[in-house]
Amino acid sequence: MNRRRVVITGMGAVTPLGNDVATTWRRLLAGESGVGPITLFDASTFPTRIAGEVKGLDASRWNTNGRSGIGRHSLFALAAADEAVKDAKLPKFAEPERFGLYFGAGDGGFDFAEYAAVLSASVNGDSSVKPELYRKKSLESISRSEVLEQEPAQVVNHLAHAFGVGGFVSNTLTACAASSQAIGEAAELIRGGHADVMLSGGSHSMIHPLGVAGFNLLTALSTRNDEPLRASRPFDKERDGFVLSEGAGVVVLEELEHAKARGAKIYAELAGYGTSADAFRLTDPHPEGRGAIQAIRLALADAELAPERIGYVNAHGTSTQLNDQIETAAVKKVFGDAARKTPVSSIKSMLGHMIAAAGAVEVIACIQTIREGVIPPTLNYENPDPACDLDYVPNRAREARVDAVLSNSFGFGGQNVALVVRRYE
Amino acid sequence: MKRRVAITGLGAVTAAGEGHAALWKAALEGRSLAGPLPIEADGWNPIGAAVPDFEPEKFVTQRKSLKVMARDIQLAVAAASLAADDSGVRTASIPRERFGVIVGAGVLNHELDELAYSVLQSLGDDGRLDLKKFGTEGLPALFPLWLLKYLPNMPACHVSILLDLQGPNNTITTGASSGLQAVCEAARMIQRGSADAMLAGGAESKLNPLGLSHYEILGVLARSSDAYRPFDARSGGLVVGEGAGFLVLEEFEHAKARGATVYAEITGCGVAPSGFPGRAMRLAIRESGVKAADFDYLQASGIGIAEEDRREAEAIEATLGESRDLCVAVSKNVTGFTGFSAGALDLIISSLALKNQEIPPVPGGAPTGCRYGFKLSETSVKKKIRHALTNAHGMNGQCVSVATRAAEDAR
Repeated sequence: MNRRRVVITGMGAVTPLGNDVATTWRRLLAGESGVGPITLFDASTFPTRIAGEVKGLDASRWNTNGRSGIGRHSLFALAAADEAVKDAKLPKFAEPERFGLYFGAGDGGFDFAEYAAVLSASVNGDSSVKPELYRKKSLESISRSEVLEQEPAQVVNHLAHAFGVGGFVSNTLTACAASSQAIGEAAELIRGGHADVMLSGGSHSMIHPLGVAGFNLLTALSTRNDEPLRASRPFDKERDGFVLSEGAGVVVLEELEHAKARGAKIYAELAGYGTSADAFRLTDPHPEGRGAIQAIRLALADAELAPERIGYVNAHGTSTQLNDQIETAAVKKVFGDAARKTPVSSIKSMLGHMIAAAGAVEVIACIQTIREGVIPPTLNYENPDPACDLDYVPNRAREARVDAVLSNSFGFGGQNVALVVRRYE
Repeated sequence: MKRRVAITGLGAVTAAGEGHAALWKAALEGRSLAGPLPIEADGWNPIGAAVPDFEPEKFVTQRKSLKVMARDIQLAVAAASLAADDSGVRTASIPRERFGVIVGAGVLNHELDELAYSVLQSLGDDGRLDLKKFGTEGLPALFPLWLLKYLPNMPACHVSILLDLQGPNNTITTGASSGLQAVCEAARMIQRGSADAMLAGGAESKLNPLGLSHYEILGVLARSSDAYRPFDARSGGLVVGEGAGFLVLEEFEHAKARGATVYAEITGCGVAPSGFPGRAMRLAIRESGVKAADFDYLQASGIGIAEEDRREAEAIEATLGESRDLCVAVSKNVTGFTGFSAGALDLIISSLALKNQEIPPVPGGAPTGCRYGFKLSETSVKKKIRHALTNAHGMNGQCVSVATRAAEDAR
């Protein structure tokens, strides 16, 4: 029996460049940056004062019917999923368990000012928190929905409820690899016969005081505060860290025959998935890219494609010193001579790093590249770095017929995911 | 031919202590391990089932690493190490890229004093948080690796580093079902050929003022350990426990070839959205290929929240009603409700039940005020057990069921 094949039949996105796929894609091709000064809170004294924020999302419809207090990342997920589900024109399912959800939602934010008030009121005399006071203050001021929204599980609860998902439901949180891993695992569930249609992708917002502070303390963020548009510069010699951003990307994955039978439009095929762990260090990738190489090889083998058949690599490309250097080395190791002939770009140069949501939006960019024959650029690539010596499609989108794309995502802590998206004919 | 999945190692760290033997003994005795918590508080006397005398140094030799591990992570590493030892996989020749780990986790609680110190540096003249001051005074006062200590994917990262597991690595964050769901997804990895061995399980420690307050805000806390009565209409809510449970899953032929002890075989996994326990059970039963009537034993979720238990009880009657000899066990009021690890610990208990052919009792015995069509025994039951089902759901999590069969029936 032939293996069940998985195709993409719907897409939705909420990003710093636009609150749908079309706007985001148009601005990516125009080489625009979604990075600007942080407006979600007063970051004026933080080491990093810039981020890629989602602007102007009308989420009022999700906050009605007693659903007030839905978290920012849940709203992004609901809006992007709504676009994807409508795009796919999903039918009603006779067997609800054939429609599943595998998401990569991040943790929710919380009201830091309110929480600080609880903490400071719980301290009595010295600087240690008195448990009884803390309990009393938090019971007075923190609501049930605030507690629930902090858990990533709540995002999938909202999604399952809103879109009538009746089958397998899961959420992965493997840091920056989460939504790519969600898409890979969702595809495997369809291949394994456990579902016919899966909603997948991810959503996240860490643009809150503790998120920015946490990454600042790890010295992971760019501090190019005076030039926000030029701050995210993957593979450029002057890169100084990633730019935090937020949003959601959602795809509808469907078993090929199921999609054909209902006359769905098919955007592309999800042809390969590879996952691995560095098992090396918490903060640093393996120096030779051991885990990254393994994930890429597994994804290519899964898609039954030689590296020469890959027409474009959508890089993880975070704009940190180590990632970009080691990702380059990993691509060169797997692709050999073909590496220099293969265009590689990072759309994080324009979108910033959406953390858990990044991979899903990148998969959407891969699909669009195949459909429209245009490769999005790496913005701000100006100064060659000897350690990064591939064709990074600098600054201007490039027309090219692309039949297969590799998309890399590497999580903080060593989880690696590679996906292969192929033209469906 | 379909690849089969054997359970070849068990590791538990619970209020009963370290190791699956301690957990099994406590489950058979069927008494609550909860007691007053050593939280200094005037007028607040929280109860919980804490891990006694936990020594993370035994499992993490690098002191530097311990500093970046929240207690949940330390418990995860300990239970994963114990499971690896139990299965003998440390010395078995398994290619490292064919061996992975999946952890059920979620938001990890930070230590209040750590953040409070930073917040106190950041208060304005009006006594409220001043973000400008936070940027200059509060932020530098935080532990530099603060974020790393609490990221949900860190338990899986530490386990992969400690045991050199270069295969698939995932972190499942679906609330109370996370731990059992991690096991399901690890089983799928082995079935589809992505790995030959997997560590899977979960860990949670919320016996701190932050975690206990959150449970109280959600309105689910029982006032005493006697009040925690699963399936009982008079249940006063749940008692929180802490702990970690991990299982080594292994491709069946692989396990047999190296002469590993097989506790049980995983024959089916069912996952459904929150509120659909019956569907999860039916999917697991269907995949197992076993008739519902042939299931001898269910390790129920029995979370102790009346509405959720009623839903689970109805699902049990609807899916396993044909099984005349069905014996239902609940162990949550032994270990306390251990959140992300609860389902994994229940699967450890049901694996030991299959191995020992003995079903643990329901502490407190048959509930009052309800008339369910299934047996809950106050004493442990020795009988022939061939097929078992283990449930995990509730507390806003998804519904997960795992079907297993006794190793001697699995040859």
